[in-house]
Amino acid sequence: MKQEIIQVPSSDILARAAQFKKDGYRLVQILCTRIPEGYELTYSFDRDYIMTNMRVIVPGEGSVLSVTGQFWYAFVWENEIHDLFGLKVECIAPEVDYGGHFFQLAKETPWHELANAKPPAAAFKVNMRSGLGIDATVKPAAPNTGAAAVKPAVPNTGASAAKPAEGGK
Amino acid sequence: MSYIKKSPWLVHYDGSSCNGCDIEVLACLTPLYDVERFGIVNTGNPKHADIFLVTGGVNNQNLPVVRQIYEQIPDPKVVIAVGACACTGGVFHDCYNMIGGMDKAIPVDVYVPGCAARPEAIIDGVVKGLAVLEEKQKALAVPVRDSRALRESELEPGVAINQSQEAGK
Amino acid sequence: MGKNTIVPFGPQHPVLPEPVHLDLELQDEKVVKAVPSIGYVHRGLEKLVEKRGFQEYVYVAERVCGICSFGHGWGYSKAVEGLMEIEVPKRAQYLRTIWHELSRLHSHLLWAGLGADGLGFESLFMQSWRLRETILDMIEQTTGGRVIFSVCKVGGVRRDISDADLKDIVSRLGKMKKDIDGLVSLFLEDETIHARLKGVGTVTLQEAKELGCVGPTARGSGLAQDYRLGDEGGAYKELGFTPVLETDGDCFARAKVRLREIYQSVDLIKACVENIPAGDIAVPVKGFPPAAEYFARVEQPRGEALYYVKGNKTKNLERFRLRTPTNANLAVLVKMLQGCDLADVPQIILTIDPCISCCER
Repeated sequence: MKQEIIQVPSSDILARAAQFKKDGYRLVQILCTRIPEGYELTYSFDRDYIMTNMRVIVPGEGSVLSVTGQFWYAFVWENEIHDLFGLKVECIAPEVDYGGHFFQLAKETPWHELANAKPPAAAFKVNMRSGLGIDATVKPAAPNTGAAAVKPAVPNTGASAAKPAEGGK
Repeated sequence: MSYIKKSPWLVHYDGSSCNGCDIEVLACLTPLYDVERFGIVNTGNPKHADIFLVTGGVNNQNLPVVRQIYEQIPDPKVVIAVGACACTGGVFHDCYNMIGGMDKAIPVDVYVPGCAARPEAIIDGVVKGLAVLEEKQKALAVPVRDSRALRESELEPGVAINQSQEAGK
Repeated sequence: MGKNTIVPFGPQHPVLPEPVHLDLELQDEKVVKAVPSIGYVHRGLEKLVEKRGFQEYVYVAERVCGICSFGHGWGYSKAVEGLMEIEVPKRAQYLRTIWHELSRLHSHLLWAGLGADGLGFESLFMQSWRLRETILDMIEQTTGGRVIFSVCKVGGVRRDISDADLKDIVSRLGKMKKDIDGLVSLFLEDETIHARLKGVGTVTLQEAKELGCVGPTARGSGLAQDYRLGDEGGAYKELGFTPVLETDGDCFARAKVRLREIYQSVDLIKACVENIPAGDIAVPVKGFPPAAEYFARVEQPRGEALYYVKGNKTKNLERFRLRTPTNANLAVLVKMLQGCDLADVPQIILTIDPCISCCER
């Protein structure tokens, strides 16, 4: 399959999208990749099973205009990009602008960090078998801050305190 | 089937899974496996259920849903975690949006392994769950009515009615 | 007209095997607006490529969804093969096609069951799933798994199907024909099904184009779009093939497309078995993916899926993106639900054959 990628300045997105629409293309997807310079957006258009890709580089603090004016269904991916990457997409059609509530995640914008940057010692370790220690291990940040705030005298009771309570059920 | 003392009704919820286990749970209901012949009914209402069958792991968004369903099921209740993801988080255990297995959210009584868990394994898990259910029932001090006790208790009022009828004559 | 009411639908709902949540804004019984919110099944699978080796990731790709599992494994492998310029042996391509069509059969039969159950036609649900078990049997016989096959790998497939097994598949499919005929004619001729599905959730050809529909949802509206036609990986081009089309665009048309595709898949499998060449089933994969990128597409049971991979000369890929059919069909679902009756909502949702775990990855 031919893999054609056209580089486009970010100011041209709307004009290009309008042209693609006029030519009878279908928007297949919008891909976002985090790169050191910011974000790399790839819009894939398809006509008769041949795909053409339009690539835009958006600087780290920048934002991008929505193509929902041309391709209404792009809202799925634009909201996704906003929620997963933290890239601001402006002017999404108002009836489908979720304003950052499309995905509800444990971690805000999980894709914002660069892919190859070493993660800061794994955000939280999944405790594979901690028996019934429920509340203490649910929220990644909770065990230390939450439990300690409630019972400052006994900082580590979270897991052990939950056990007898559950055993009774 | 004399060892089954109860027709257990179950409520099924799919957590964060690939729905492979999910369709296997449904497959249990269909003609080849047909658990309905044991009196097992898949209900949509948690308040009708004895057994909570969960597939998939838990994430921040479905955590309150799972807890809510669990709390709505009347006591005694049994939770069966079906599949590797529900047991431990499985292949997804180190994804950023996964908290882990179902035991991070609610107390789990029976773990059914497998990816995807086979219908035979799921049925086996439910049968194991029934034993747990019976124990819980005893612990709750609700007497398990064995057939003899049942017959006696039913007989006595009947006898009493006959006597009163005779007395009225 | 009373004032608008918002009714939450899902995530735990009897007709939905999977969790999806919709806020339905109602004016009396009519839906005026539907707002889907997702994230109940979001796992963040795409990011796992940074932790798993590129060959190991096939297993994760297969677990994107338990229904279209083989297709995802294939799509991912195809993308990596394109990236690394690996030529897959012919026999492997045919084997992949056979398994892919088997999984389409099981997926469509599964859908037929769920659709019937959503209508309240429980015996039809049981019949469809009974037939599906025969397909699952064939899959188990050839791969060892029922829903997750794990036979696809980068560079080919893991297992061969013996000639005896191939013949067995064909003869069992032949024996199934009578049952399939019965199921399909029941679906197409039953009055209650007509009453529930005809004229419900109509999408015109123009709307289908404008909303970027894929798969049977698009073909039900007369949009001839089936990526098996543009396929570069399987045996479809050699076997010849015309997409199934219906033009009414309502729930019934979408159901009809899937039912007719059952026959088509059976024919494709038979053609594959007749024409399968002898030879290797895999080529060895050496080295790491180069610093390049590649897009691959596969026609899944639910529609076209797109896989994007980007390598960086290490064991792990830099980026993997998957655009699944349900993801593309969410927009049309929102449009379909506008103006329908509340009681038809489950039906309409089911006829796009939603796969939420695909959609959210």
